[in-house]
Amino acid sequence: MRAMIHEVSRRTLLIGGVLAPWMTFRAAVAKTSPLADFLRLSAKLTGRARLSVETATIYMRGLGLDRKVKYSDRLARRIVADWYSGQTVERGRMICVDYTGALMWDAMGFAWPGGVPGEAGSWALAPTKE
Amino acid sequence: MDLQADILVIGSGVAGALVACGAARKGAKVIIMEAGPEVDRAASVQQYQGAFPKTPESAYAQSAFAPHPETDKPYGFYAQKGPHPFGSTYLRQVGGTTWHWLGSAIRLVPDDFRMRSLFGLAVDWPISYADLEPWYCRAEQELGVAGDNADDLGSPRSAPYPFPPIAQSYLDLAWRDALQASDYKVRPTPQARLSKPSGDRPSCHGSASCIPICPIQAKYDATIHVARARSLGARLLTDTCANFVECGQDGCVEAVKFKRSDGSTGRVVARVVVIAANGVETPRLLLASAAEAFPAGVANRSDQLGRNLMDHPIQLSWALARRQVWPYRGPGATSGIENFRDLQDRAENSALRFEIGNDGWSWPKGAPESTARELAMSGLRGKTLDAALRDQTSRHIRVAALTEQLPLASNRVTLDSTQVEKTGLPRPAIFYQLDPYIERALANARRRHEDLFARVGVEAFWHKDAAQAAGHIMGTARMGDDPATSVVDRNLRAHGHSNLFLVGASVFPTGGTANPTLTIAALALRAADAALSALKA
Repeated sequence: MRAMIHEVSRRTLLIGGVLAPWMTFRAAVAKTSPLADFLRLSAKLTGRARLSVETATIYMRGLGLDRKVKYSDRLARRIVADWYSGQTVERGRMICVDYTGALMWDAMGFAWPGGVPGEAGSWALAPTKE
Repeated sequence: MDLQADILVIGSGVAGALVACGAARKGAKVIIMEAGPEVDRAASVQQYQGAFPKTPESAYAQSAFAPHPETDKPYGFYAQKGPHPFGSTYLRQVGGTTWHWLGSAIRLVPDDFRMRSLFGLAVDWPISYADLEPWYCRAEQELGVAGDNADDLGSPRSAPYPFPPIAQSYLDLAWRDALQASDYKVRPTPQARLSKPSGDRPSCHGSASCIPICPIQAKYDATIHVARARSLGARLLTDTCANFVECGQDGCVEAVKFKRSDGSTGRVVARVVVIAANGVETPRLLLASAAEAFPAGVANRSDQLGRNLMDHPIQLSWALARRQVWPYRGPGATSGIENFRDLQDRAENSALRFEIGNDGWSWPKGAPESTARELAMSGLRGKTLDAALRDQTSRHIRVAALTEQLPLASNRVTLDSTQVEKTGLPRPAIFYQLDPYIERALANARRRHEDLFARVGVEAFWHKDAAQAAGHIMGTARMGDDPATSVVDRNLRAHGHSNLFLVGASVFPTGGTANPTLTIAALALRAADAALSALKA
């Protein structure tokens, strides 16, 4: 996997429009690995500190971050979309990467992944977090 | 070397498993022949969770030997010959399609058996609701159906449900309350999933993955009866596909040829043969068994074999409710609106069964994943994104109207002999079209759905443009008293073949609007008695 986030230029960042938070982040991680960069960027964008390294590797590939890309607001949105949905687009096709670990479940707070047993009859009630 | 049996059962879905179990219990020497493999439940749950898209088949490995049709590839398995691709699928594995059925265990209503007499449409069944009613009771016992005894769904009962009802979802109750003053009566759906533990099976724990798989087998699947049959001495042959039914000049089945996934071949000689494949595989095998004495295939002197293919074409609609109803929890559906299944205008308008989904927008949109992506791509982040996602997904509702497709002789399964599967069977070819009766039914369902949504209170709603497949493959070996116009008699014995029985939804003369599994089970139990009598004879 080649460096990718490292290749983002200051001009690209300005065009991308993420600006200050990203620039701060970049400065802090400039000497780390691309994967670590991606994980820290993902943490920044999603607000979640604990993210799967294995999943991150697949998202990087799906996002094309194993080759030279320009940072953009759209890329940032894609990163968030992938982490939340547990899916990414790889070679033009949507794939499921981490269904049970998708951040959407935590965000929704009232449902859990299919195939995981819950509490009998709990669906008859409003969730306790309501 | 030939294998010997009293009864050979081809197919191990609900129909075959019940027949095999019943016969083995009576001491018959039973062989169950299944084209596919046994399924590892835990591995299948894992496969489902890792799948995109999450189709009904997504939990199961595709087989090179005996492949199955796939929802997202309608042209992959079937040779589609008609104007509408036939979209209903099935599984070829031990337990059959009960692995990915929803679990709704609904009876037909009495009028469903008399469409010709009452409405001048299609044909009557050769048996009545009253004839089948005791067998419905037995089927409910065998499948462990949970239902509300106090509720009248239009199908009179002579025995209580074996299990108390599954709790209706919070979402169901929101629909029920909103529709209280209307003609739409929201009822708890009888279901073959345990409402309390039984034997070594736990009660339903709301895994929200009935389709394609229940991770804890709270939902009935036919592996339960396959295991019981085996414990009673039945022999199960997996990865073994029947590919030719040999008949004598008198029509009696003398043997069934098979091929295994390792390439080996053989025959089973049985006194009685029960074909319990499904609405595609049953005619496929019999059509492929054409011989000099039976040039159009076995059990096809009427030329009805493969014809009258039916489904319950579905109008799928979804909406964003104004209030939070908390979907994506519990069984896929726990309630329906049943009082449009038996109206008196069926000569003009199809009966409708409205299924209220607990699965939010997962069927029409692939949500909640698609909603998460959409909101993230709109630029939302952090707590704003979390709040929007929770708010939107908690208001996702959907309804599916099952319509009654009438039997058309032109809707049929034939063979595409230019492509032969590794089992030795030609590829099934399907001609399928929707007639004006169904087009009208779908339009009517859309109007009804809009009325429902207005009463429930929604911000927006959407309809699928095309009819969705229900997965209810019916009618290709119809039951009837007249050998000239039907394939099997009222006991499901093939006309002209005294030791051959066909069980499954293929024998339905018409389909009503009930999910067919309970009726398949009731008919199979009834036919098992007839098959055992044939054995004694």
